[in-house]
Amino acid sequence: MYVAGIDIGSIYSKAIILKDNQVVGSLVKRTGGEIKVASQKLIEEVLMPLGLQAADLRAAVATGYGRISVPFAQKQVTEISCFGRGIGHLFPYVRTVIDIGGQDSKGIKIDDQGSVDDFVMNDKCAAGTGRFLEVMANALEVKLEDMGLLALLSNSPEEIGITCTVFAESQVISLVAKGRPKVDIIAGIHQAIAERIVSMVKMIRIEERIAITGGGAKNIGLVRELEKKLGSKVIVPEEPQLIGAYGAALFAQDLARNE
Amino acid sequence: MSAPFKTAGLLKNLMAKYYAKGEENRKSGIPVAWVTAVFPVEIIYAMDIFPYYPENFGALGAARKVADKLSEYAERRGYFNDLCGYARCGIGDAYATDHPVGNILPPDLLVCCNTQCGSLPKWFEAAGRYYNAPYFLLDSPLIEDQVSPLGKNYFIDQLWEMVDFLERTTGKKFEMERLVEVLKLASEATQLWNDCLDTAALKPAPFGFFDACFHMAPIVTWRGTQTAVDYYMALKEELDERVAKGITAIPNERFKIYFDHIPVWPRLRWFSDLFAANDALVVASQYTHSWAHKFDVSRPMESLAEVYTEQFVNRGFEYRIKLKMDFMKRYKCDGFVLFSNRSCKPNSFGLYDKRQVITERTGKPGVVFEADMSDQRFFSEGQIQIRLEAFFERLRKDQ
Repeated sequence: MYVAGIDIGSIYSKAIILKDNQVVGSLVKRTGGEIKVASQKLIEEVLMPLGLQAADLRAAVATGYGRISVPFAQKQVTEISCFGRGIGHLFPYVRTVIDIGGQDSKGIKIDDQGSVDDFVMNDKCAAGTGRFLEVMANALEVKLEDMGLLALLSNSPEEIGITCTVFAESQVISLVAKGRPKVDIIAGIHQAIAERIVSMVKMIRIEERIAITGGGAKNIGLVRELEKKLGSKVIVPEEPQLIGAYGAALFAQDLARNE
Repeated sequence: MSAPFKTAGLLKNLMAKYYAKGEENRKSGIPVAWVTAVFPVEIIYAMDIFPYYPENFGALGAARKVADKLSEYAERRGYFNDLCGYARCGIGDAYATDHPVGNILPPDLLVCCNTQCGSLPKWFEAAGRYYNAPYFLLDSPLIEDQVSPLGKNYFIDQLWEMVDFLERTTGKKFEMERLVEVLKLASEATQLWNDCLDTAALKPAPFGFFDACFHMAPIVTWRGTQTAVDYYMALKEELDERVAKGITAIPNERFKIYFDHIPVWPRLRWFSDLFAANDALVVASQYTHSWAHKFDVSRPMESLAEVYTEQFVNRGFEYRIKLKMDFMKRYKCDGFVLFSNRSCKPNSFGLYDKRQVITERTGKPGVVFEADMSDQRFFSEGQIQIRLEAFFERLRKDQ
């Protein structure tokens, strides 16, 4: 019995295929163009090595901001529930999930089943999200995937104000113009993002243990900075970006079983 | 939203007549006074002055999805888009060259009470200068729980000063007997309104908050008149009839929700559909209950002072939490939604903390979302939908 979890995020789309509880396929692709078409391509591509087609799936659940535009999904579940479910399944002792996605970051409190007790999200502002890091990487002419490691090299991080992505970008550009070391600027950016995320997540009273998910969890500099501010070691799953799709696939499995 | 009410047709007719009456009245020598929504309008009615509610004009512009267009006219004059959306609609219309919801009615005089907020007095001051009309501010002291004797006397003195101001500027005479009659009518209407709102506590309910947002216009504008009493009698009758026939507000009511506070007017339908699709009915809000008070007609001025200073927006943090929790208990709510309204700072203040405290004290889930009650430019559908859907998923977990 094959089921699929599809997570259409603002920057990346993710897919997980489960067969009898086991992950047999996964894929991360940049979300581009029309979501309906993009999600079709995504599912075709992830199923191709398995010799399957969308019609062979017993169930599919869609999540992410594009969840309502996935034509082959029987159900939509919010990414808040999906990240909770995915982490709860892998790490049943985790009580707080911090998800750093492309356009939003969230704090999610879960019980031992991965079911959501409470949550908080950033409001309509990209500061403190993946997109913010992307903008800064561009402004600094540094690869996004190198940002985290570079942040760890600094001994005297710059003070960066990040109430607004656009203003932060011009601040970064002026610091570069003044000849400040890039690593210090990058470290400052990471500190500011971590500060913002932690103060938001504190609104739901953080309980240990804490897991970090989403594309932002792949950034080692950000993870270390979050640990400092949280005063606690965090759990980063092997594929943090795929947790939402994994949770969606678990919901799809429920659907298939209840049929 | 519920299937159309018979009363809705009546309301549309009455509102159209009311808006037409302003200019007619002025011609026949009845002055037009701008008033604020939570204001002792009973005195205005008692003196046969025509009360006009510029906030209603703002809500109308918002509901017709043109608040942003009107606001742009105000913004060009330097009014920042962070100000109250109703004020931006009203100020914008004064400067506008096109009037998508008709012209705002110019005032002969302006009377304002700051029990709601500090933005209204500034808007009315600016309007007073623009229309060259006299302006009176009724200053309500901020209170924590109950108004102090000193605060009450301060307010009562101002009520008399206002009577004096009204007599001088309009030439009309104030008579206490007439005020008592008006207060009786106001109490009757507010009691009926309260009864209508209370039908939302039935499960399943015939009436919810989104319906109340539509049917509240008469209690705001005509409390103190027979028209309001007649209207709510008709509405109550219709609701009783719906209960008898088993007509409900939404098809499958599973959850009852408390909503704070004003609706997002341009998206009223969107919200009501989203809640209904999740079998959730919004059953109460402190907003629609703002006009569900009672007067003691044996002490007219004191009673007016108590009712209008003790409005919830004028009170402390703890009181406001308690008020929401009381509503949740009275209407048997399963959860609550708090709207952080960019337009309304006094009500949005501390909402995230309030959410936390209410959940801790009641064990009920709640969610905060941010938007503007009138201006669509601040509405981010995806962001709001995900919060509400996650909230509904959380509600289902409890059942």
